[in-house]
Amino acid sequence: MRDTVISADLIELARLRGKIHLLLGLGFRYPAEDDFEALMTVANDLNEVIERASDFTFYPATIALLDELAGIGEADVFRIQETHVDIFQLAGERAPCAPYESAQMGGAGRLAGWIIADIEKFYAEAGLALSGRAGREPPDHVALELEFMSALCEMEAVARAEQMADEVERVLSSELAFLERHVCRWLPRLARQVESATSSDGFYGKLAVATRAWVAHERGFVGLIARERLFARELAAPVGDPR
Amino acid sequence: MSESPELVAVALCSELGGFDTRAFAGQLESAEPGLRVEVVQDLCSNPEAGVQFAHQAGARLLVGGLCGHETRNVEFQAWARRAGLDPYAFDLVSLRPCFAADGAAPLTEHAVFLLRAAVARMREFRGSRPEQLNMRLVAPGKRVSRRALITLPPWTYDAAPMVDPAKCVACGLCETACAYDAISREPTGDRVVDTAHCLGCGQCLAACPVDALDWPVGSKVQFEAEMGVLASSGGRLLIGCASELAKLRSDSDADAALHGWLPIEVPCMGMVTAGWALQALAGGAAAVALVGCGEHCHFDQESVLRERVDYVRDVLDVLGEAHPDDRVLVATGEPASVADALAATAARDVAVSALPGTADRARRAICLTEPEATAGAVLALVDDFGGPVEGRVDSAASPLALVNVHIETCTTCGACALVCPTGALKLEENDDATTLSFDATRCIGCMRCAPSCPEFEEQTLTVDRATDPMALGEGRRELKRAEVGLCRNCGKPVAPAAMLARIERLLDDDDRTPALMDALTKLCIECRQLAASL
Repeated sequence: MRDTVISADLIELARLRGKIHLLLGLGFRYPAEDDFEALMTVANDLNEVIERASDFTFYPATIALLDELAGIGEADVFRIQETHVDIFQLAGERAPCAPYESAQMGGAGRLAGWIIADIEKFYAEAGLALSGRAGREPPDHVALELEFMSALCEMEAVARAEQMADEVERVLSSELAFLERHVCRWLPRLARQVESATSSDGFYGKLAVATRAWVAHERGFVGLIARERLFARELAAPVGDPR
Repeated sequence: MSESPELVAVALCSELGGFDTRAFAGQLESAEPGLRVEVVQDLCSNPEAGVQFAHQAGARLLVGGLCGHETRNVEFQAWARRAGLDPYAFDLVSLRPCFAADGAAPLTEHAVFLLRAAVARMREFRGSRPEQLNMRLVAPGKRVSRRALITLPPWTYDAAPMVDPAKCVACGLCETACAYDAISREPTGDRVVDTAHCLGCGQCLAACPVDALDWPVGSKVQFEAEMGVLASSGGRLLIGCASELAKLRSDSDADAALHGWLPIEVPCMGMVTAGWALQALAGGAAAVALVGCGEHCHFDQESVLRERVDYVRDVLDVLGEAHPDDRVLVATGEPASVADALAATAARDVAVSALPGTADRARRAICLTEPEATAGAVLALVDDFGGPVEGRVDSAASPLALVNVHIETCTTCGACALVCPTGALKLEENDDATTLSFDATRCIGCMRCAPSCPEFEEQTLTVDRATDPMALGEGRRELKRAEVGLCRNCGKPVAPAAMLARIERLLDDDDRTPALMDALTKLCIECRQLAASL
């Protein structure tokens, strides 16, 4: 019988995961010319490798999003910009689809400040800071949180490739903590809001569905590899040790 | 015009022993519309071919008829995901219990019922959502090597229930029932299931009175469809969890004893309430066996199952059934003990084959949500036995309960009706009177009402965990009707007279002026405010 349950390369998967985080993050940014080009570039990169994720549950929704992007021409960009303004920007943080974690989870009080401070702490601990490209967006903007996850995935891929078990463990624990304390707590809610605010056939509808599927998968996946210690801290064990 | 049924691909393993698979495929297609049946070469070892057949047939759903007991769910799921199908859009049926025993002809009719039941179950499949799926390694623990740094071992997905906010009445019974703290309440009041903590025992589904939990591997509507087909065969049903059924099938003696039984595989026996067994019997099954949990089972539903079976037997006894012990049983222990229990029941087949009203029972729709499951089945069986029935069953395992109200101390304030999640208690108010009523067919004995009663200490409202066929037949009945006290000034309703009398009694010893007492009990709010402002 053929081996129907395949295994997967965790280095490739880490890079692929990073690209998906980046794609979704860019999808939520205002599609100014530069950002839209970056989004299409990431989509093209992802199209090359997404087949490797065909066994995962987020695959159909991601493919639907990539297909939607492939069908977008230059003439459509203005329409997408308009929709973005409609969904996210008309009333700033009071809009129904506020793309900020503090607005979704913390209201305007001290909790909002705590959320932002906690996020900045994560960024700093990973040795990252907001660049000029982030513009005026605060650190709890959905695009920045997802770009941070993308950076962590890239760090994980490098650490795995270099067989730096301790570093893999450290990065994984950051990924899991950031997912559980931030991304997974509010992104499904934002995605549901976007789904109700827009057509399911359009770009933002598909972005929302893909985001929900992705976040659900990512939390389970990172939790699993962290729990099962798939970073091989026990590298000292001889190769082929059947333990 | 009725809609045509959804296309289901049915793949039959070419190695089905004793069957003329081609003729059997034709028989199946004529028995059930909307099927595309194909014999697949060695399906049990070649899941990819089965999934590809469904994909090419343009079917969203697949049923596999396997020759062996090894289910290969993980492999089928992997190929389903790869083919773009829902990971839970397939159902695998082992046709081994229908194989020829001792050279006799195979139980073709049983096989048709099993496959039709699986088709009915799949047609009720509403799809899984990514949020419900929890990734799991197929073989955890084999990871400590250099490869572990770069290779993800084989994995599969487990599904967890999800609360449908549109159906949820926020009673919290699922949260209470969950032994693993997997269900919590969001600030919005919505109940959410944490897939990482859910172990899939199904207790929440059993507890939910409005069927608000959606579970891709075991939604009640799917089991209702499956049981409906199997019970209508008039055969003997065997309900067990996947783990225990697999254990039985791997034992040759127990496997032989399964011959002729129609199995229903559930994720966990925790979700099988007494109402399931009663519904199966009311739906036409000759007998129902529940497979008990093994010693290794951390859910340990054994004692719960026994209580439920004892309760069902008591109900059947009250209804007038001569052989209640043969109608429903728990088959438990080592495979040999289970085999003995099943064989003994099968041997007494003649004695148990004639429940009254068989022809009507086969047409009844199955409902597995309490309290309708038990109440509906009991009422149907009362009809079958030629009712009316006197006597009731008092049992901790009764899914139903009876609310009693002390007529002297109840003030018809309605606090109990306000917290009742199923509408068993209801308060109706009009200008003349307030009426508190109770419908025994709706009461699940959740006990929310008793502590909510302001006269709790006087035991004004008590709940008996019991099933009373006569009370079920009565439908909604009045518990207390109280005249409404009218405002002395304007004539508007103030409050139920019983409540005003209660207030007077409570304030009797208080050091208040008669004028204040008068204002509180004889004037409506507006007139009281007006009097105070003068």
